[in-house]
Amino acid sequence: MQFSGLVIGGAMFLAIWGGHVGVRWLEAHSVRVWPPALLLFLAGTGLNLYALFGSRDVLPGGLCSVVGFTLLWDSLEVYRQMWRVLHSHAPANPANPRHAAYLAAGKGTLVDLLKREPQGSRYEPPAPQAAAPVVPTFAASCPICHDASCILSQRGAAVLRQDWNAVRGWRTTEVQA
Amino acid sequence: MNWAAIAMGFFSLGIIGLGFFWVIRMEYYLGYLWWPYVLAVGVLLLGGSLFVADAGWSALLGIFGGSVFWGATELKEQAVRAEVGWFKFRSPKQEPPGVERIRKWHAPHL
Repeated sequence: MQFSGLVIGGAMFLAIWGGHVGVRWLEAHSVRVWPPALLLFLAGTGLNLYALFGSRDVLPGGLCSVVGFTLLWDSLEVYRQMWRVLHSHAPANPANPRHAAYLAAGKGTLVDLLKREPQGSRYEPPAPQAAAPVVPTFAASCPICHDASCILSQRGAAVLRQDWNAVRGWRTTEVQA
Repeated sequence: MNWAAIAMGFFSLGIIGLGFFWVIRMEYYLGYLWWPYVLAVGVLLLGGSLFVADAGWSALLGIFGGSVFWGATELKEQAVRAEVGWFKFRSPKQEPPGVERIRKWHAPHL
């Protein structure tokens, strides 16, 4: 009996499963998106380098490469998950300042629309929430990266909710100060 | 250098990409209730890989089986996505044999 296929196929399925759950968790709990994406990218690249140079057999090499490519895909999925949260395709985490900023800007939802059984007919999702239960106050510049155009700044939040008067007003205040 | 291993990784990436495509098409035309049949095909492919003598070909069959297995778990979520309006919705759909029994089972999803 040849177990290479079962082991590599099973590992691929588990890696996809772990990726699905892990990417959702990482995106929901990371204030910034790029560190988990970079970590996944480095892990995926490392596994592929090991597969290329560190192994000569099909099983360890194939296993590392398949899991490595899954991790590389997950590094992109972190950004796609952020897009899903912004477009209400995935629930936002109000405890995460980045998600709280989305909610305060009128983007995203707390409802998980995928957490239901298929009905066999069209489903009208509830209207997006106007405001989050947790509304953060925004500093002039982001408290983490100190960038005035970051979404965690006053101007960034106004840009997200497309409130151009607020953006202009904030800029005027800045000039006057 | 073990290029065969990297080729397997690329193959898995391609087969997952193809998986997104066939899951969307299958759910659109047939519906998510076919999931037990898809799951069975995945199990058969994974089981079949045990009887392929060459480790490389066995691995490719295993990867294909794993992706079909994953596709079975993705059908239900795709059905919900279509009902919510994120994808094209079609009704009625082709019901699978034993549909009444399948409706009583909890469709798996990741």
